[in-house]
Amino acid sequence: MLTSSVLTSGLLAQQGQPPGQGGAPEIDYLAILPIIIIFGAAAVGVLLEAVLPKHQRWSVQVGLSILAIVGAGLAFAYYVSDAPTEGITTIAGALSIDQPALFLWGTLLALGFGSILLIADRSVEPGGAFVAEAAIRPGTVQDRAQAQTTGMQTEVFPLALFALGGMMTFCAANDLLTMFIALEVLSLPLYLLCGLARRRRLLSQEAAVKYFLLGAFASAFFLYGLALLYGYAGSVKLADIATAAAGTDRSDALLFGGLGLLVVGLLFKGSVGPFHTWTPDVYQGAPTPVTAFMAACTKVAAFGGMLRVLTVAFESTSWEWRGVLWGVAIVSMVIGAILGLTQTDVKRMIAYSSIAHAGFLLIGTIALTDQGVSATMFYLLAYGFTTLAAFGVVSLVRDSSGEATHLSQWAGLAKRSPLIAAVFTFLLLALTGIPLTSGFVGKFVVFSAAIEDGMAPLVVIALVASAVAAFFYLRVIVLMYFSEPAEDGPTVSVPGTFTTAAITLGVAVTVLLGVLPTVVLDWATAGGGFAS
Amino acid sequence: MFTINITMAVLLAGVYTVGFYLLMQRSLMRVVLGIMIIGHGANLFLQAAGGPPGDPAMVAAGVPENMVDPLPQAMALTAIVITFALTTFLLALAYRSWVFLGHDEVQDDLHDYRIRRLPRRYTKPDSLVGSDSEANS
Amino acid sequence: MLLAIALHMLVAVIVLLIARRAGRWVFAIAAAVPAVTFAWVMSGSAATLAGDARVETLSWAPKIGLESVLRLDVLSFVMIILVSGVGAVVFAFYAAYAKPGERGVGRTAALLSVFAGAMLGLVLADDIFTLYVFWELTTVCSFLLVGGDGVSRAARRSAVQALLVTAIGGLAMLGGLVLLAEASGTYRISEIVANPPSGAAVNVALVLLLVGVVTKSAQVPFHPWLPGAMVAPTPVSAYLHAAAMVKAGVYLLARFAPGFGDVPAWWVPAVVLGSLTMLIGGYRALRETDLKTLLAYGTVSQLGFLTVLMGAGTRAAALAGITLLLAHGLFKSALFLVVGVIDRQTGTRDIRHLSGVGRQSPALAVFAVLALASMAGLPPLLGFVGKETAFEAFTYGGTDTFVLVAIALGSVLTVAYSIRFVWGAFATKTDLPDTAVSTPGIGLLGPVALPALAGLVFGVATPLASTVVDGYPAAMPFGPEASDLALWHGIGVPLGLSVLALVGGYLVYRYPASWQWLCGRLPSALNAQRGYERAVTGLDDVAHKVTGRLQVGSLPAYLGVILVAVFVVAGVGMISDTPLPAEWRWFDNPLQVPLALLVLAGAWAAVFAHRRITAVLFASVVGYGIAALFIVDGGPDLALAQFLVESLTLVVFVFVLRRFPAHFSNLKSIRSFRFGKLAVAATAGILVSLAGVLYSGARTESPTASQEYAERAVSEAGASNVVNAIIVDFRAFDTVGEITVLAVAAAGAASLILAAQRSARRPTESDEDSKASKRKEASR
Repeated sequence: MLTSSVLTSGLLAQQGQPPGQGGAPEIDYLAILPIIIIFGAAAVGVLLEAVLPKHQRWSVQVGLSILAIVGAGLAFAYYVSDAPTEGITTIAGALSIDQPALFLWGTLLALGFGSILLIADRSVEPGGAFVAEAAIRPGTVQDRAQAQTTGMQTEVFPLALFALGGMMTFCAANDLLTMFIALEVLSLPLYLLCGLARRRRLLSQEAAVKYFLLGAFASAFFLYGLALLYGYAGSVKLADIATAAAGTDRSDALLFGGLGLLVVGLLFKGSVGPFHTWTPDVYQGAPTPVTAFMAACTKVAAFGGMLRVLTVAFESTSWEWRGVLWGVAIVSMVIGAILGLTQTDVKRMIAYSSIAHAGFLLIGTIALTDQGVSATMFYLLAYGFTTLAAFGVVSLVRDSSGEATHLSQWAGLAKRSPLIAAVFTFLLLALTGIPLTSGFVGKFVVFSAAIEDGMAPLVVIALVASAVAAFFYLRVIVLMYFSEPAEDGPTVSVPGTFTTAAITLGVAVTVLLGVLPTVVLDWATAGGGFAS
Repeated sequence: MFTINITMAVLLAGVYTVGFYLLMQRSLMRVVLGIMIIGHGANLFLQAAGGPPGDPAMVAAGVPENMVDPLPQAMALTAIVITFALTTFLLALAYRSWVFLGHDEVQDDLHDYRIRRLPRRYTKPDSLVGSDSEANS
Repeated sequence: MLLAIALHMLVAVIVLLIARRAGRWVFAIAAAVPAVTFAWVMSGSAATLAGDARVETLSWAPKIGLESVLRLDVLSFVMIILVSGVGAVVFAFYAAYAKPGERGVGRTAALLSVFAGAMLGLVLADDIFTLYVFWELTTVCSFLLVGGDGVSRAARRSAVQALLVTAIGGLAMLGGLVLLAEASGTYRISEIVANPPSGAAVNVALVLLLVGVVTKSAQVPFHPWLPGAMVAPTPVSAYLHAAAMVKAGVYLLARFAPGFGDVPAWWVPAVVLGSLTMLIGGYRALRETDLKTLLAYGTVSQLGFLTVLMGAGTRAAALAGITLLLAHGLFKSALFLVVGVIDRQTGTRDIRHLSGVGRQSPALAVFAVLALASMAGLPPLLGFVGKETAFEAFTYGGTDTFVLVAIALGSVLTVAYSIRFVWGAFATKTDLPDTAVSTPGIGLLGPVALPALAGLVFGVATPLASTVVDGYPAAMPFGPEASDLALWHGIGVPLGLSVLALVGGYLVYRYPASWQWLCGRLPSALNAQRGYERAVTGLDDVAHKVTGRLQVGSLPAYLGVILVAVFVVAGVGMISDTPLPAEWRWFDNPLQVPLALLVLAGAWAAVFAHRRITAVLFASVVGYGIAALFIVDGGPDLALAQFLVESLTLVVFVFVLRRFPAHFSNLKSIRSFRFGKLAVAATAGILVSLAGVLYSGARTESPTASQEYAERAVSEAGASNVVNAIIVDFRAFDTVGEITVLAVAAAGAASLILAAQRSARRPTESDEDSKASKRKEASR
């Protein structure tokens, strides 16, 4: 269904063609096949939800989702194997499938695969992390009954696929309107997914409401920014904005006002301080697999979009706005590092760590050099897998009432479950940026790109922030190893195949990128740059 | 032709002020209204920004020179639809909040409240070490 | 070299695996690797000492310039004597020291093995990242070794303190190294030192590097972690805190001195802090009653001495520095092992309880005195040779004289606490009963004897010592030519100072009143331990205050924060260069005025409505009013859509509102809050309006894209309505996305409420109940 609309739209969209050539369709199906597959599977998933009997839904949806991602991955790999280095634009210039877009697509598909595995797990929490009937009131008889059932709302799978497709479109969007719509497509499912936790449903509901309200607010800013830029450039295409900005006869107020609002919307999605306020509440309240999905994939999409917007459209004016983003990066790193120190909940702590990491990512993003772009993309990949595995581990530590996320409950975990404690320690070390983990290489490439671009003071601040952030990772490690476990403390569930696979994937990539970063770095730095 | 329409400027300011104010309320219902009104404001904004009034953007209906700019209108249409989607969705959330909690107010986060009130238990020099009692509790 | 490091790590794993069966003999297995490494390095000593550095390169990520380079030169050679030579001895000692059946030996042996490998890598590393990796690895190993199994609180606290101080120093060092590498364009340390860059950035880099040095080598004001770390088992202390790890800082200093020895930002802090440390450490050592802590402060003092020598950056000082580096590693590890033996055989290491140990265990006493004599600078030991050279290095007048006074005073204190150690550990005290000593066997005595005797051999056979260390000062470009190492330099200032130190030291020891008046008079600000505690507490405190302010957990507050942030990010830039409109008009079309008034009135009323349905109705007045404005403005499609959607929204609202109470709940916010919100909202509103004004002001003609659309609407899309053409044709991809948004929203709304239709009923629990259950959830 969706495929055919895309097809029609592609046939009709001739805008990018010079007059006279109007007849030939300009759409590269092979290039956008991964997106088509993901959206197509999502649409099919929604239909299946309507027609399938309840007991079949889970297995069919899981199969469909995994198949879709793997299929998209294959299509992607086939395209990449001989994609033009300089990239192409397609669908009337709405999408730009260039080297950064492809790298980010690969990252998103891989992270999306891991996230779907976490979402699909039903062995850690019998029935999965999602509520069986989202509408039942918590605390009622029905609610207790549904907590015991093994069913779950299976529309989480198509929703996650929609979000994933939205993210992929977002990374490749070559004009602001497409970007805005992709932003909505990726956001709405996430708002909903946040509210579907099986346990602690009130927190989950609160998370959904907060994320939605703040997210809608941020989308609105994005839209206003878009409008202002349209007023400035007379076009929503990134390349046209760049051309307009290079001329000097227009009002810069519109340009910078528009850029500011646009970037606020993007910073919000990337949970960069001071637009981070939703992050801790939402990370804590959302079902952990969804938190993992958001933490890993949304960051990729948000920073991917930011990289493209800043590099393609605003490079020529960078000296005017870079100071502000310097400030934002510093605020984000400081907020993440300092506020993280006071947290008593593991998920909130990782949330603040993600805010600090967003600051580091922003440093790479505003470098605006090829090196900065590839460094940021590498960092996104590295961080995504580490944080995915970290949330996977968080979902394993449970007591009778669900996940045990309070830090005091993690005391002495190493004595109960040395393996899980060791894995988590490793992941925390990767988040700290200890050598031989991907976190180190990521920080290294980002910081060297920044220094190369004359941002040494920012890098020094970033190093200080990393040092402060190391405190709270360390606190967890100390707690796990050097405390006596509580009497009625949480147990560590034996992870099922899906969760094991997801954690293994995350840890393996973290090790691999730490020890042998060359392969991925080669790809990230393959050149080509943005096409527009 | 750098002119300004005072009526529209005042209207925009007024509508947005009300919208933002409602958005900062605790009652979700008021927040929904705020989003709606800001959505209206957005359309107005796009319209006002599209230039002075003119003939409808129909090739048959008027001279191209007098035609209003069609693209902001197209964007406004998109915005209307998306605002509608958001409104419906938020209403559903508000309704669910009401079913869950018996009211539809966004409350302060308890975790943050706690941290603010936290007895200074982490402010001892050995906070990193973790006290023995903590491990046993 | 790489192989040797890998071997260490491999053996660590093996040791862990066989620990249960092998018991304490795992240490013997672990000892084999450093022993082999030592032998291998010695076998190639001729080439190394002749200045022929061996280099191994491992490409890691060549794309970004990450490669691992190992390089064996004279400085590394001397360090390997300590790292692998002393390491093997300490491991062997541990096999005898551990009690049969002791728990956790596998863990300790494995960690020690990893540590030995890391230390080896550290002293061989020739690129800044390899250096940093191994640097932090030693920190982590030290943390785990000091913390033990974490049972005792003191161990945890000391381990954390050691980790924090050295890890933060390590990060500062990394910052310095990166800046240095950027300034010189290479990551290779040997190349940086060969062509040292200069400039302000380099000075910053050097200071950062020094932070790494002073934290790792326990210099003032970071020294308290070292005495604290004495909770570790004594052999661990002997290795980490005497021979190897604490030398890493001094090693770094020595490594970069040939390049930067003449930069004031480098040598001034090093010499000043080193001198201070030497004095403070010596003074504290005089007051300790625990033999091990006494040695720890002695180590702090000696490290200060080494920092002065390596930091000074002259040839003579470098010669003295490297000689004493070797000497100190030998005698201090021997002394720690002596303390270990005493502790193990008597059950105490407190001066106030030990008596008659020397009489009962004369062999131990002899070796201890040999090591102490080297420390105090008695001929013919290596310590004496080094100290003579050190004194000589600062006899050139000028500022050197201050340094000379400081190190002479420090040497006086060294002699004093050495005597105190001999008396405390071995003397027969008249007022104490003899301590029971079980005679130490060869397994314990042998490892003590080896390093102690090595100090004697190197001292007597000075030419041998010369061949080992001479290559290092030869690489120093600064300062006068150093004279050779010798036991007898003739009568002069150095000899005089040596004698003075010995006599003075005895007097200080004999007459404690000479220094005891200082007790309690030193300003408490000098108490570095309290400084550390204040820093940690302060950070936590600040974090709590900031969290309380920023993360208030209230949605309205968050929205306000975002709005305010937007003013700053977008608004300021916009206003700063706003050209004021050239002309203005009241309206474009008279109909705009009444419609605008209607919309404003509707909006205003929606704010103040108390009933939900009233508020919704007023809000739709806004929507309809704006739709009417669209007609006036020439957007019939838009108006139609707006009317439709508005009506649809109203219907949805009515459906939902049926289930809600009629009135808004009466939760009045505080007055000042309301005004605050209003102020923020009004500012934002005016800003948006301003943007709109600017926007229309910026438009001079219909943008090219729109014109293109208009031209092509008929010809290509076959539509006369341009807006329609855009939506369904030109930008159809976006419209598909839009539909997706609608679909997702619909699916979401459905899953949130549909099923509730069946189970929904009025809430049975009161608000308090659900709040309580929420609180309960949050507390988990």
